[in-house]
Amino acid sequence: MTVEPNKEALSTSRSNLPSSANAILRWSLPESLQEPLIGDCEEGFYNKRAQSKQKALFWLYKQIISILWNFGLTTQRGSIMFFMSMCGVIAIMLMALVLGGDYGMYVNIPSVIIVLIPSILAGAVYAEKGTFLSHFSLLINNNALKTLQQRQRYAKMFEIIGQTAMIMAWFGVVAGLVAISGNTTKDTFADVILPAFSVCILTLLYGLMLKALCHFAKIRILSGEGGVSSDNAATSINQKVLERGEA
Amino acid sequence: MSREQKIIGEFEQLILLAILHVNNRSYGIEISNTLLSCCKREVSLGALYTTLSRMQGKGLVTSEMGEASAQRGGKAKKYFIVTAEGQLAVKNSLAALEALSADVNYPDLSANRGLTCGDIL
Repeated sequence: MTVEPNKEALSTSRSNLPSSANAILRWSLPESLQEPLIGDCEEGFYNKRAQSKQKALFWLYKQIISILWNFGLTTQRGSIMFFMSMCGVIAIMLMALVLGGDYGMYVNIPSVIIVLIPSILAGAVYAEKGTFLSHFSLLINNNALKTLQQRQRYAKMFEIIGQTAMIMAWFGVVAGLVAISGNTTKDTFADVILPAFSVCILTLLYGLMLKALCHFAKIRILSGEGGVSSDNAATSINQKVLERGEA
Repeated sequence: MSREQKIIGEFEQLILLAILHVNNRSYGIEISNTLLSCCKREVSLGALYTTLSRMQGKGLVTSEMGEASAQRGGKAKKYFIVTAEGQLAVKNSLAALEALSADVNYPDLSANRGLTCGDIL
């Protein structure tokens, strides 16, 4: 006998769980297990809260860690890999800057403004109204996009930000070179040219950094192609646990 | 033992018995509570559902959606039922344990009368 989920109860009942716990559970669980497993967490939490709120919270977070370990690593594999690759890329960039000498020489606010603001504006122009920030939230949620067309459309925004960053970077370099050429005299040439050139190509550095980050974001969004939807993730969990059990 | 006969592990055996203990229809938190009260074994829901998914894949259990309640934040229960294959697997597993443990006399325990398992460990 299968009882259909009570849609009315679902919509009117308030969740007993803290909103952070609810969000983590929804994020990490495959769609097919969200309702029963979150319901079990709610019931356990509700019963334990009657004895002690602290104990109930401790129990709940123990369950969340176990669910993250058992399901999150599979359902959100793409997000975890994206997070790790971003950390790696940023660490390598910082290492290159620090090993290159005084990192203060890599900081130039006007260059940041030249690259960053037009890139963000270009991305906002491409994104549909009210969806600009949701593009970024997609980077940590594997389940939101279902079709290849959707993925390509959302990935395109990061491509546009990266391309604009590079265009503005080259614009900054050319503008800087023009300024250097126009303001350097024969007497000051030896003292001025190299420090000025170093500042001039900073826009290119910032453009490349932003392009690299956007490249990874684009890969992340397209990586779901072929449908790592939540139900596929559930099937893959089943296959994995079957293999583990047989081994 | 036939080739098709499923081999189950200790945790799987406990879960199957916990479901059968509650009239062969039980859901996640109930199975967890049964294991805690009967075996003093605390089981996390993540580990429980992973094992249940595996057993469902092996055909040892089936599932069906149940009713929702306000206590569960309006979310439905997922009931698990041990299939005939699962019941046979757990029966064979218990029979094997019984056969193996029938003539065991625990020499260390009988030589050290008064010692508890905790003392030895």
